[in-house]
Amino acid sequence: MYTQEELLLKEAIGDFLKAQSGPDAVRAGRSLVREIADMGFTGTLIDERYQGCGLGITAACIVAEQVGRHLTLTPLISAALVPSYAIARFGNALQHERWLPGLASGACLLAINHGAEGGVNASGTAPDDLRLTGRVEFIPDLSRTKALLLPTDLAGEPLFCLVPLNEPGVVFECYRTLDGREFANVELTDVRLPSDHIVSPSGASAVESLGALLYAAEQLGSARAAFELASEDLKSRKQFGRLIGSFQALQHRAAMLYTALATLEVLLLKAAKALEDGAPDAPCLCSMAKAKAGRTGLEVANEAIQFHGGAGMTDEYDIGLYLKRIAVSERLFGDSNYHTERVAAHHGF
Amino acid sequence: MSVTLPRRMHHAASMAGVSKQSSGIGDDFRASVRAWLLDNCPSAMRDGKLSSEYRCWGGRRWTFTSLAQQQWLDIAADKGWTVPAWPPEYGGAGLSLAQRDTIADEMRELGIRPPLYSYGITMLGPTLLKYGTAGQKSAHLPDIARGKIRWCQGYSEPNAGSDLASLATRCEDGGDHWLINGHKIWTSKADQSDWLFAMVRTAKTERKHEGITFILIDMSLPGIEVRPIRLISGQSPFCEVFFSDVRVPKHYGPDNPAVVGELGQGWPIGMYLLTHERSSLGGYRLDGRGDEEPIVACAIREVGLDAGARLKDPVLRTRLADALIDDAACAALAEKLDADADAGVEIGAQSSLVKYASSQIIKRGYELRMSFAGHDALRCEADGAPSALARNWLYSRAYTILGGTSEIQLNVIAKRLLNLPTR
Repeated sequence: MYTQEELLLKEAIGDFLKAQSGPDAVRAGRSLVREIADMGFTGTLIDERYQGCGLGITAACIVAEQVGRHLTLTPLISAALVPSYAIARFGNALQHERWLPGLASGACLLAINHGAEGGVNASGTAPDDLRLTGRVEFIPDLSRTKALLLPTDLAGEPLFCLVPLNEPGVVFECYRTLDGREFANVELTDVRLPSDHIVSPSGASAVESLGALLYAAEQLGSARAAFELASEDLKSRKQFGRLIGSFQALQHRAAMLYTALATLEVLLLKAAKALEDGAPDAPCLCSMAKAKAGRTGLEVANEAIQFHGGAGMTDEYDIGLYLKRIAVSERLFGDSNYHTERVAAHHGF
Repeated sequence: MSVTLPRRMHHAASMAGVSKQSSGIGDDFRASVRAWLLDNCPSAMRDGKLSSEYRCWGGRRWTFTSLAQQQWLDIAADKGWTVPAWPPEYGGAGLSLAQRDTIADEMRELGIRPPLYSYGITMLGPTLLKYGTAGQKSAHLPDIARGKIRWCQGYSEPNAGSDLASLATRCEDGGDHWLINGHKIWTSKADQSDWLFAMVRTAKTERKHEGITFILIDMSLPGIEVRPIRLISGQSPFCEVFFSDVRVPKHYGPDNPAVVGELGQGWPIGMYLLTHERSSLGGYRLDGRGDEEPIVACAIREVGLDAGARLKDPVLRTRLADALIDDAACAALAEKLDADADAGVEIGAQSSLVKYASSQIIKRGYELRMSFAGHDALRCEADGAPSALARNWLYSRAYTILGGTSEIQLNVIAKRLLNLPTR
């Protein structure tokens, strides 16, 4: 299923994130930015020419899964992996030179959330005189970035605009979510874009697919970790003089969750490979992966709390952190309902 | 552990030339399969009639529905494509499981009827390949591959279903023969089969998994009675089999004993066979058994699309999309386990994951089809039989029971994959 190199990557990032992040770091609000960039993970999808690692989408999924597993507070997925894919695939040579080295080094991250609520009107004429007005919400890690990569459209034609945050007319408000991550809402008032800040419009759906896929992988990681915590509880806690994991009612529910996680993982890998290969069913598979990750993730986290009993409700126990993390990722790059709708549309009904 | 692995990894990867992974099956193979099928399959067998009533099961009691059906079986068997993944000396083509799946895909794409179905192919064959003597393999496998002998499975008994190890059919040493007395039930197609593979009790032991023997029984021997069982669907695919002083020869020929493996050591053999049965049952999809109108087409035909090309009933639209997602995930797992088996990885208890998931999904497919069809599907035919859809829907209840119930699969997952405690 994985190549030897991918397994090595999984171990490397897993060990690193385990040491540097986890439940305690979340409680302390400790983010990983510099350290993760120094390790080279921000350059996962960026060519070596621009100081990246030149790895593929499966590798990016492995990285995202480990971020979710260790609940890491980091702009890695939102502000490095997704935007670097967008610029590398759909930007021109000048834009590659301009943005990719900074994304790889972590010095110049870019913000994006494809499924963001709100709307921005573009007017004028691309590329020389484009003006943007409107509002977008729920942008992850914006304060760590230099510019917002904003999907919009001009007279029906899709566009990606790189909106520098220091441009006049850009105002943003930052806030934290339940899981300790940082988000922002952005207000644009007649913002004038430099002409080289428009990325070729053809790539909107592939970028949405990649974002959905990586957050699906992130949710898989969190859900796996929550499942393992719950399994430990089943194997160590006694009631009625027996380990609770010996009760068939709980065994069967645990087995169903495990089956859901196992099928989610292979679906996700299939979607990653399809997107890497540019297969025609890649957008549908990525939507399937995100929809299933959201549903399975929430189901696993909720059941994991139930298995813990009253202790699962306490702030002292870690299990609640996984539920919060999964619930927030559910809203990134399209939620389960949105992607289920996409699946129906891809199938022609 | 090196913390700078990602950068280094890239060098290692590019040196090893692994930056682009091959999928294992080239388009060349697929093209050659297609070309051979188009050149060799009789046109009458390329009619897209893939539903169960058009299947060829073979065996001594089989009546070919046409000359073309017989010819197609012979042509495919000559090529080794009734059992593509078996070794050539036993009637196969020595291909991988992934290549076998490609052949099946191409047949389905071209509307070609599979040349042969049988439990000999999906269950007994893999078991004999692993546990059989050379004599047993050469006596039985080529006849399975050519569709000459049809096999059935004697496992369940009236008091040994999910608790299979409680089986009580007795097998006693009669000198030159084994003397068998007992009662098997839920034996699929026993009334149309020539031979039966069974688990029987050769010793009463403290631990009930011991003392069980795996044995091959020629059903033409005196003392065997078969009675079909009528189901809620009106069909009778299962039978009861009664054994009264049946004398099974200890050897059917040189190096060809009736017993597979050692006496009293049949349990692991029978379980190995079950993992194969389970992974072949893992082939069930939301679309059914691959022989019906695809479910999306069925939904569009029955429910209709609105002006926005959406299914007119929004609830059914969501339920179908949800089911397609779980179906794709289940299919991905089945493909992964096939790839593992190809790579020589023993999938063991993981077959329970795919059996559990796919039996749920096939039932969900028939539930949806019944919802699409509305009350029309409830109307009986003039002869009182259920409609074809109702029959399939009713029968599909069986998928979470046969081959080990869902509850048994969940037990296996909990104990063997999750290592949950027993007390």
